[in-house]
Amino acid sequence: MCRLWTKLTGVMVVAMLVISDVVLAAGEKASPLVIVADTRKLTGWEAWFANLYNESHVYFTLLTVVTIPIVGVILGILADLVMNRIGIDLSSRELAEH
Amino acid sequence: MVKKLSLFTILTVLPFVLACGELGKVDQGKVIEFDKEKGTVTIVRDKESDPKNPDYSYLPPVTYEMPKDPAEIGALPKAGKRMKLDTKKNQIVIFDTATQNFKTIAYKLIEQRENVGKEDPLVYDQAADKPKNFPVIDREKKTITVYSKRQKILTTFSLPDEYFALPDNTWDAGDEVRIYYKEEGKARRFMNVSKTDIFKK
Repeated sequence: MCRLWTKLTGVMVVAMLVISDVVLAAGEKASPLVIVADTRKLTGWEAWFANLYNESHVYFTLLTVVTIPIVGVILGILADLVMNRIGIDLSSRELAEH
Repeated sequence: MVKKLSLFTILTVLPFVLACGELGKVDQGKVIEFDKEKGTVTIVRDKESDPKNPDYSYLPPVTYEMPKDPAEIGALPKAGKRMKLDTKKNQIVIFDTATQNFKTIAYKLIEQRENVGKEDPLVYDQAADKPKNFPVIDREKKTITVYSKRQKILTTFSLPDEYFALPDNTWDAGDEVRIYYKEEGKARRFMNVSKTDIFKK
């Protein structure tokens, strides 16, 4: 079974390499898509974040991936606080049924 | 639990630590010279930083070394010396290599068409599926036809004889490029704004 998987994987990798070479050979070689974020008019954290994108896509991705859940947790806590303040208690539930 | 929390803390702090090093700056301008062999590009910097109203009047021109990593270089730029086409005053501003300064030349208008999009048959060869080549220089009739994609203007004008000795790219607008750099004169990432269409598949 393990051998079969190894063979299948090998065939897939070779097929992908061959097909991509054929496709690439068919057309004119395209120039890589390179994007530089325009930070000339930005200041503060906006400039820093956009320049981080220019500096390294890896750092930018890591920071974005980490930032999103943190911001989610902060917003959740804030929502809880606001709801508590207006009298909605989500921490306990009183069953109405007997 | 403690292990997971430690891993999360490390992953949270790590990008911030990595990103806290000194970051670079961005420069943008019009290419007036490009040497593929030497790997250098010379631009006239955009003074205004406003994408809709660029002002290519910053002197002296700035020369950058292209990035060493080919993956950081976008489409190679086309150089041109035309800085501004003032259709109201019938003037063309070029960068004069000899004086390293701008030169404003008054022209005699022959014909002008406005609202000419980049796929208009006047400027786009449908059969060959590629843009037509501009400027068109007719040295016998002493006329020059230029197309400004940004202004959507196709104009034909006439100039005094002496200007026809200048190279063809004197009347062509160079590509607009954006450069990310940390060290003056050394590009770390190079983007050809004129030839980059992020919406194209």
